[in-house]
Amino acid sequence: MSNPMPGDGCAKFVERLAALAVDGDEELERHIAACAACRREAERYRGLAERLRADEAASAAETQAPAALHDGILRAIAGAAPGAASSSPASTRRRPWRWPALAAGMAAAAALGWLMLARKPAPVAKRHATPAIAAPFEEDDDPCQLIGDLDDDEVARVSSYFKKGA
Amino acid sequence: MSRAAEVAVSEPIDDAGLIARFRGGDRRAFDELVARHEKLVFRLALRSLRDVGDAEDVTQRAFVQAFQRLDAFRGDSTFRTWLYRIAFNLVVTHARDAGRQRRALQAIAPEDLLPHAHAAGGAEPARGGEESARLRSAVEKLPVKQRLVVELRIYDELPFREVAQIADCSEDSAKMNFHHALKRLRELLQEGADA
Repeated sequence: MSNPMPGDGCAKFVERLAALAVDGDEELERHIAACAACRREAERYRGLAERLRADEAASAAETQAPAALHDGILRAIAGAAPGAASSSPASTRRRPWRWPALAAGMAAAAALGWLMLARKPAPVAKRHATPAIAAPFEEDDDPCQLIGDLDDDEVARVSSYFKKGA
Repeated sequence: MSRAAEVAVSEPIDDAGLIARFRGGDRRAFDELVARHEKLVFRLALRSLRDVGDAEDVTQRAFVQAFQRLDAFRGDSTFRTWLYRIAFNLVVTHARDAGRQRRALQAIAPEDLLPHAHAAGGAEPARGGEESARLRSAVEKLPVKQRLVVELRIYDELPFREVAQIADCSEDSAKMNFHHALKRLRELLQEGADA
């Protein structure tokens, strides 16, 4: 599919044309009143957005939320305590093996510490040579850290490129 | 109409007001927040997971997390934006776990288990129309962030400011991702039409 080459005044819209067209941005509207190429593009994007919206509306009508959804959520909430995100009810239960397990854990930690002290430490530079790799997709991870589309730096670079060209 | 919905009709109050009530000890205020947002959260989950049971499960968990963490909600964004972020994180985690499970099943007996694995995790919802199938298929080929931005802006009709908050990027970045997503969708649909 061929895209029209941006002319004078088009550059500031070219990377956001679809978004501005869907939003009905006033500045874009003034521009497309005089620019046939951008007007054609804007109409195509609006048409596509409308097709997607209609499709979603039809899909939503076909696939209603289950009738039991609301009650299910309320039941789940009833079993949860506010402010208990980090401590489940199970963690406060009495456990007879808790103290022996704690003692064994401390002994293991002490032994590990002694072993590490006994070994010659690696040079600092070498120890920092390999950065730690975070476990991916933890529940509280920021999902956008995992997604490499266009981050803010890239957006800034692209913007400055088009500003220069404008 | 549910009791919570009836309250909403008789006493219009915004989400911030309901949160204040909840913090003041009125636990039923949270029921009203659930009634207001459950369908949108369910749709968000269903679009990504394509399984009603999984979407229901994620929706429940999103509200439980919101309920448990509401004390930490500072109001920097709207409650809806905050709730959507929780739900989106859960969707990503759920999809990852389902993918891992599917890979493990396929490793055991690919021929026997593949259809079953698809039915469990990636079934196409019963929807009519070739046009619809083509659109859905094209949207699913988008990179995750572009897809999220398109879904939030077009399907959920959120303003770009809010889309940006949920996607954790600047508004400009959200607009640019949206533009590239629609551009890519046009190409994909054109390729499909030419084939």
